[in-house]
Amino acid sequence: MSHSAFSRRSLIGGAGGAAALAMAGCSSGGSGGGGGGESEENTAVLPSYIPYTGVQPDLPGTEEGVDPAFYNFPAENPASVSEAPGNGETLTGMANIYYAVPPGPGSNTYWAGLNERLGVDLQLQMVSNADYLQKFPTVIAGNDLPDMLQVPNGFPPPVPNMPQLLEKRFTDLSEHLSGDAVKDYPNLANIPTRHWLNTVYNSGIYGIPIPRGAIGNYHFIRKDLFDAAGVSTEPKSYEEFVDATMALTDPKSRKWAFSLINQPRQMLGRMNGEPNFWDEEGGKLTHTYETEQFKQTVTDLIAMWKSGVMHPDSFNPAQPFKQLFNAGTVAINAADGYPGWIQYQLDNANNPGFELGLMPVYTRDSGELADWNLGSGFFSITLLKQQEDPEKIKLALRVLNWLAAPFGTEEYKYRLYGDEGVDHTMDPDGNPVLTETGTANTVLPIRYLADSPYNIYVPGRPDDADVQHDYQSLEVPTGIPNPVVGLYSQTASSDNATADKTFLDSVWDIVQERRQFTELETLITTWKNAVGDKMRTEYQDALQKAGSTATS
Amino acid sequence: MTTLENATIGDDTVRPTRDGKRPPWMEKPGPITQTLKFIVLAVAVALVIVPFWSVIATSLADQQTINDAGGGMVMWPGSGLNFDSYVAVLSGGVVTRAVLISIGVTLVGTVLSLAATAGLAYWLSRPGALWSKPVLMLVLGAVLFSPGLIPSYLVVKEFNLLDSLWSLILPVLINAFNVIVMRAFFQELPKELFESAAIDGVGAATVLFRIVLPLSKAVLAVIGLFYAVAYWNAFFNALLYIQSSEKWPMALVLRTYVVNQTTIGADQAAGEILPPQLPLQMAILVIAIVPILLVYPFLQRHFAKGVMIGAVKG
Repeated sequence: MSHSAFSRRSLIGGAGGAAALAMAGCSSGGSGGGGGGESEENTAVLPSYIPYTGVQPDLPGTEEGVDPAFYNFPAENPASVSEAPGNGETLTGMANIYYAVPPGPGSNTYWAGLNERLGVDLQLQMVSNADYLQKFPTVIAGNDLPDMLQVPNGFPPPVPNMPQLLEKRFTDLSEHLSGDAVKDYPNLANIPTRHWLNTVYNSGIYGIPIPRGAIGNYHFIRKDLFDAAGVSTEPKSYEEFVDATMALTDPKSRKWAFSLINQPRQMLGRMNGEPNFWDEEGGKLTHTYETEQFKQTVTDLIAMWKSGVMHPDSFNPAQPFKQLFNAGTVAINAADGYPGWIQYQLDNANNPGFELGLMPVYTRDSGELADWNLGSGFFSITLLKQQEDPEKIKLALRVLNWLAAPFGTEEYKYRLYGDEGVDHTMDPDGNPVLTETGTANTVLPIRYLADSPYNIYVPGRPDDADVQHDYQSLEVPTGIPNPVVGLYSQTASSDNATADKTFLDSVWDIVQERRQFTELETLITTWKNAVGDKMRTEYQDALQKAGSTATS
Repeated sequence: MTTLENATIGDDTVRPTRDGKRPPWMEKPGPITQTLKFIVLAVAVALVIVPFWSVIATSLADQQTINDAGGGMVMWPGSGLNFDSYVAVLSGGVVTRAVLISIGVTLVGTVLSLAATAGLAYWLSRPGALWSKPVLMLVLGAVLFSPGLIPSYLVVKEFNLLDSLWSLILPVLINAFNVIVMRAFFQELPKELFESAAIDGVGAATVLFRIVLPLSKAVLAVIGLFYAVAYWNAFFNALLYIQSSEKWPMALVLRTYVVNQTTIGADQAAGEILPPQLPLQMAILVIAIVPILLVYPFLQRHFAKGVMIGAVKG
């Protein structure tokens, strides 16, 4: 059976989709009428997808979402942008940062070089990821918006009243990006259509997506530990899976299979055939919590917790799961984003025994691959504030176009690795290796203002590209999308996080047998009354608005 | 029971019990009690020292040692001392710059805060001072209610303080609780001093500078320490108000090193790449603790005395 990674609105995306034009206010860049985000339909003509062909990957990507792979960094680095985007203007931006803060523009040669290449004075506000959710509302409330602003990471974006906010303060970019208009910004046109779904609000394109691979998470495993325990890295049934976890566990020598409850929860969920958060059938949505499959997962988790294969602190969300995985305390790290591959290899560069692997998930007993839950396809979106001068919007788009330069291009190389000899050196295979200066200087959060689509590339480890590409080629075709990706629900953005945590905390009590299994029904009802039914109504409504013209 | 009933407060004469022995707590402690005491105190000290030690040891360990220890903190840096983390932290210039900014903000802030707090507390402590009652009510109100995040931000913005280091000082210049503690101290000063000063025809300012403040060194030291520690540790205002990272104080830089990794969340679908940084985090923790730790011993002797002030009268 074939699953499509992006079915609903894909029809109106792409070249020549003008027939589906259903935008209320496409004449101006500003707000389109006084509907307050209540327009009848919410569809926009998504940007045409024009893949960049200047650099050819060693292993090609697929339309379904398998990422292209490179063994080594391309030797030829063609320029993708012919002239500097700016002419000495100042451009401000705000985005989150996961790293230690880099030196400021005065003492950062990389930053100075970037400004020169962009032709602008790029002023960045950096906010650590942990604090971004607090900073964002104050910036909005203070109406002191930077020209380019990253929406807090997450799906759905944790921003209440997002459609109204976008309409009042930010620019509808449809006239610049819809359909073939995006050709003016070829690197933005290189972002596949499915990623743009998440930028549509009020029948307009309100941002640039930071694209992320369709695969979403990897089920990382310590292959060396699997080999040592003598178990297969591909358990093909529930029984084999349970046996493997038991073989990997030895509490006396502090060894367990899992470090966090959500890891077996994710794997068992796939094994049991849970939907990807929501299941859509004929416009009706069912949340995974409401399914029999979820109950099966909870039953399995009870057995799994009892069997002792989970780290005793598995219910602590602050568990340092990455360190435990590095240390070999746990053998499976099943719910971590795919960029973790590079990180774990870097962390274990001096650990000769370390061997990273990826585990496919099979269904309970059919011996076939389980459906893979695809990721939301984006990290965040970048908004452009409303400007009196339309040229400023174009300038920002040209800068973002530069920053989105595809893998292997000259711009990409500078964005990631800076200047040769200062920020990086080249290894014998032609891979840039960051110097200490480069490591500190290049971590500007521009990667959260615009980014190119993901490519599999592990510097200095060409074989890793094969492992990852094989895994993606195996799993992505079985992928099921989350049907509400690209839709907005106020409840999901504002109230769901708390209600979901309350619900799951109680479910984890059941898993630990502090509560009776029979209470699950009550918990689900409470969750439904709190947020579940409201989200369903809002999403179904949004689904209808988005879908009504999609097939015309 | 009988001894309790018979005892009167303040009566600390030693009365032998019926069998002629003194009660056990009056005896010179024997070796067993001494040992027990030692153990209890040693455990208490260890509870304070061990985390510090672990932070220092981890900051000197390499990644391999940490992996071997199960990925967490270590108690011994393992194979040799490894100062890489310190070199990494201090070489970029970001941390050193932030330390200087923090020292500057702390010094200027503490001096201004002390001056403002002492002035206000003196005003409120003088009987019959103009409007002292309504102002006192305002101060007490500030203890109970604090403004919300966004109103504070808007006020700072309207005063054009965004991205200025003054935004780290002015909004938190006066801590109402400290004003009340200091006012209580001033009220305890003997009335006679003020009366004799009045007879000599001395003005209010001279009374403050020549009489009140010299007598209030203990409370000034303690409140000053409170302010200094608060300025040194404050990151939140900097997070909200300071836009360019070049003006970040130490505490905020520290946060980007330490907090990000732990809050990234387990089911973060877009698990971003994070640098391996446990030793780095610990190194920067040490760097952040040291300056304020250096100040403590000099103020310690005032500390116990100062903290008690206002405890009984307020």
